[in-house]
This record gives sequence, C-alpha cells and structure tokens, in this order.
Amino acid sequence: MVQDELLIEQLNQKQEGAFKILFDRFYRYLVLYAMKWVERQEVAEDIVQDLFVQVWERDTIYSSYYGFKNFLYNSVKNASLDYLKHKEVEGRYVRYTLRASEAGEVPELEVMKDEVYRRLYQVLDELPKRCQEVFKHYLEGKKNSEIAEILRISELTVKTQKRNAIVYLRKRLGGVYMLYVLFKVGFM
Amino acid sequence: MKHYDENIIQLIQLYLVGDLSEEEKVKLEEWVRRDPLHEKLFKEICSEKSVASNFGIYENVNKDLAWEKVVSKGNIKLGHKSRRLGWYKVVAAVMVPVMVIAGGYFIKEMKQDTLQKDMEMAIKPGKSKAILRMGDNRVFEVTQDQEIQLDVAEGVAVVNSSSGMVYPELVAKGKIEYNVLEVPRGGEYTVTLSDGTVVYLNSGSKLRYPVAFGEEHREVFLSGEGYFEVAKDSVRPFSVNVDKLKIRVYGTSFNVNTYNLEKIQTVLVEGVIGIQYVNSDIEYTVKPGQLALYDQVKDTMEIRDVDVLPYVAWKDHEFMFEDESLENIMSKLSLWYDVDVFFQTASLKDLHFTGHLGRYEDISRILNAIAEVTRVKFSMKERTIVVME
Repeated sequence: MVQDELLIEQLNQKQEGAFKILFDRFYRYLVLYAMKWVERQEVAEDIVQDLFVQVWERDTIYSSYYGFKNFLYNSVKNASLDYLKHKEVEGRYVRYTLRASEAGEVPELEVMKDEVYRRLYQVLDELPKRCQEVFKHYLEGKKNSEIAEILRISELTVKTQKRNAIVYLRKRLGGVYMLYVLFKVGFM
Repeated sequence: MKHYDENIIQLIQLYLVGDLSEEEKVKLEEWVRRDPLHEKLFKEICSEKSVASNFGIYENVNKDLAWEKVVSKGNIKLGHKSRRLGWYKVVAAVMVPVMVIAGGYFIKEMKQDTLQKDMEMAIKPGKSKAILRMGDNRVFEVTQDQEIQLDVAEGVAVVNSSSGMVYPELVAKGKIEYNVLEVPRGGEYTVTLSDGTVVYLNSGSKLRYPVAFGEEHREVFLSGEGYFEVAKDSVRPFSVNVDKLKIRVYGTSFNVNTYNLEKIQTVLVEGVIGIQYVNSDIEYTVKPGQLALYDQVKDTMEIRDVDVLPYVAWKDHEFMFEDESLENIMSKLSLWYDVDVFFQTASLKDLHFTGHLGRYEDISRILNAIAEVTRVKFSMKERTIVVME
C-alpha cells in the first residue's frame, strides 16, 4: 500500500510521527514474538524497546515496508537468542531452545504467519470492549449459547456482537478503511 | 526474493474470523495447494489454539509506557505539538505525494484553522435513526442502539437492534397492512422485510411496505435512496415503485436513487431487473454493472455500463465520488450532515472531484481537502455552509 511505503520514506528521513506510527503498529506484537524465546515479558519488552531505539539512532535506510518488517522480526529473534546465550543460568530448556532455533534469517513464510496474527490482533484491539469479549470466546471455539452464559447476555446479543465484529474486521482487514481523504481534482 | 502475498494474509485472517466468501475460499485453496510449504503453514495456523490467549498477553502490553521509555532511551525530541497533532501532520504529509501523483497539483500542509473547529462543534455526521409509522397511526422513533421489540400490527412483533429492524417471516392471508419507515436528513437505517429482503435506506428517504407480503406478489414504494438485497422467491415477484417507474426484480442487489426526481438512477450490482413506466408494457432490462438513468424532462431511459461502487458505497459507510461535480458532492454532504449549502459563486458547482471518505468522518476533512487543491473557500453561517471563491 502506498501509505506504508511513505511511512518508511519518512522514517528514513527521521520523521518522528512516522516512527511513532510504526512503533504503535509493531511494538506489542513484537513483545509477544520475543516471548517465544525469552518467556519473561519484561525481558521481551526490553529487547523490543532497544530495537526501536536502534532503529531511531542508526542511519540505516530501509528500502521498503516489506524489508523493514523482515528486519524487525529477524532482529527480535536474534536478540532473543543472544539474550539466552549470555544468560548465566544454563537450564535444559534454554539449551533445547537454542538447538531448535538457530539464529539467522527468519523464513519469509514464518514472517507471513506472524503478520497474520499481528494485524488480526491490531484490529481486534480496536473493537469496542463488549464486542471484543464476545469475539475472543468465539475464537476459542465456544458456541453462542456458551458465550451467552459466560457473559450473562442473551444469545441474540451474542449473535449481533459477533456479526458487528466480523463486519468491522472484514472492512479493516480488507484495507477499506481510509485514514485520509484521497482527492483528485479536475476542471470541466 | 520471494515476497509473501498481502492478499493471502487477508484471506487467512478472514478464514480465521469465519467470514470467507465462496470466491475467496477458492483463491485461498488454490494458494494452499500451490506449494507444500503453503499447506504446512496453513495447517499450522489452523491448529494454533492460542490465538485468543495470546491476544490476552498482547492486550496487556502497555505500549504508552514503552513509548516513553523508548523516547527517553533514544533521546528522541518530540515536536512542541501534542502527539495527536503530530499524527495529523504525518497524515497530511502522507497525503501530499499521493495527491501530487493523482492530480499533479502541489498542496501545502493541512492547516488547522478556526473554520475546522467551528465545524467540528456544529456539524456531526449522521447516525442510524428513523421514524416508523404504523397502520393505526401510531408513530415510533427508532435508533439502532436500542434493542427492543415493537408490535407493528396485530400479532406481529418486530425486533429492532444494531442490525436494524427485522420483520418476522410471514405471509399475509387476506388484508395487507402497511408500515412506513421514514429516515430523516442525517439518518440511515436498515430494515429486513417479511420475506428476508434487506433494504438499506439513506438520509431523507421513505419506504412503504407491507408488514407481511401477500401470496402473489411483493411490492414496496420508495422515495429518496435505497439499496435492496432482494430475497429469492420464484413464486412471488418483487417490485419497487418509485414515482413513475416500476422496477421489477428477479432476485438481486441494486441501488435506487430518486433524490432528483427528474433523473432517477438505478444501478444493478447483481441479478437481473426490468424497469417499466407505470401504465406501460415496455420493459427495459438492466444487467449487473449497468446504470439505468431515467430523464423525466426528456422522458428517456438511458442504460450504460458504470463502476457500481461509487453508487452503493454509502451503504458500507463510505462516500465515494467518481468525477462528481461539487454541486452533487455538496448535496450528498448536506443530506448526511444535515446542513444547508449555499453557492455564492455558482460557477464552482461545475468543479469535478474523485475521491472517497468515511461517512463517519468529520465534514471538515473533506472540505479542507477540497479547499487545499482549488480556489474554493468554505465558511459557516448557522447551519449553512457557504461556498465561495
């Protein structure tokens, strides 16, 4: 999408607004991503914060949004593995994790999988609280009647909230939502 | 470098939330079959049990606190504007190059002038609201925030909720009773009729319909603008009466716009419809992707191919203008935002624009966008927007 590429261009020019938008889009998911390896949330948060500080301080020029995303996932993975290596405690779990995932490039299809979840979470997070509750249970595979009972609402409400959520998700995931007015002008 | 496909990401997401159309399903299956690696990935995603529980962790990560830490660690100097304004600045900056490509015009950064503040205070986007008139002269005001049941006729209860008003599935034996749903300026409403047909009504529109259709045919009366998704029923034909036209429907989705009675527009999205003048046997057949334009002054019917999206985008909460005159744009805005428009310089009516905007956005956004690229200026007087040079 055009605006994604423009964000990267602005990041390359060190525009702080673009940096903030990218931070908002990726921070929380990358914390979750780091927790695949480091388990503790504080550690994961430190890793991702340091990465964003680096993004800001270094003069790296990113060629595309796509490249930038790959860079983020790769960096978080490598930093997480580094952390494990340097950790004093050498539990069995740590050794196992290290063996199972070698440092290096994350395969692109893996990135794709995480992008599925990252954007899904991002949009889920925008739903109104009530709607979100219903939808979380639905994603866990619960039936309408079960959700109604847990949340103490009618089944009709469950249905409507689910429908509302899906309509909203489809719109947002399909990229229909526009953040700005795009205009072209012509004179008769 | 092998790029993964953003479209496939969307399809998988829609699959996960359970809203994949048949057509999309075919596309996704095709992608899955193309490569064993794709298949493996898709299976992994489907068997992932922790989507909801991981979201719980995700939700609880405090990104505002983290942002403050990043700002202090990285010694990032934030501009003197507030964060919110910072965002606007970026949006404006993002807009500029796109517009240069699109229109070849140079645009300055969006200004936050007083006009915008005035407008934000005074003018609000429309919302779901309507007035229901029943056969016995009872009148109800409804909005889609209310979850209620209404007795609209003897023994007939209608459910009103966020998905609009839904009539129970019934077939009338004997006398037919009518309801009228009136949507005021600044309103929109959705109604599901007794046969399952869904009608989206735009601002300033009125639909008259039976509480339950009879056994032989289904007939409704529209003024203003409505989008119809007609339920299939091979036994009972469906028709929409608008002023001097009758639109005969054979299971279909289409939009009818009669705001300007001299030029009635009917656009077909899918299915087949036929249009007749009242008291005439000649029927014009309209196919998907076509616009039927009835010119009352010349008494002609013109049928041509069009891009249907700009005609129906309103029902998905969007304004979409395709080479549309400023006059038409302003009249659409005036209905939805419930304001009056006065052109101090008449020649400005003929400026043409292409673009789109969410209907729930602030009106100042679209007016600013227009003012930025043209010599047009807007000012506010009470609830009237004055357009001038």
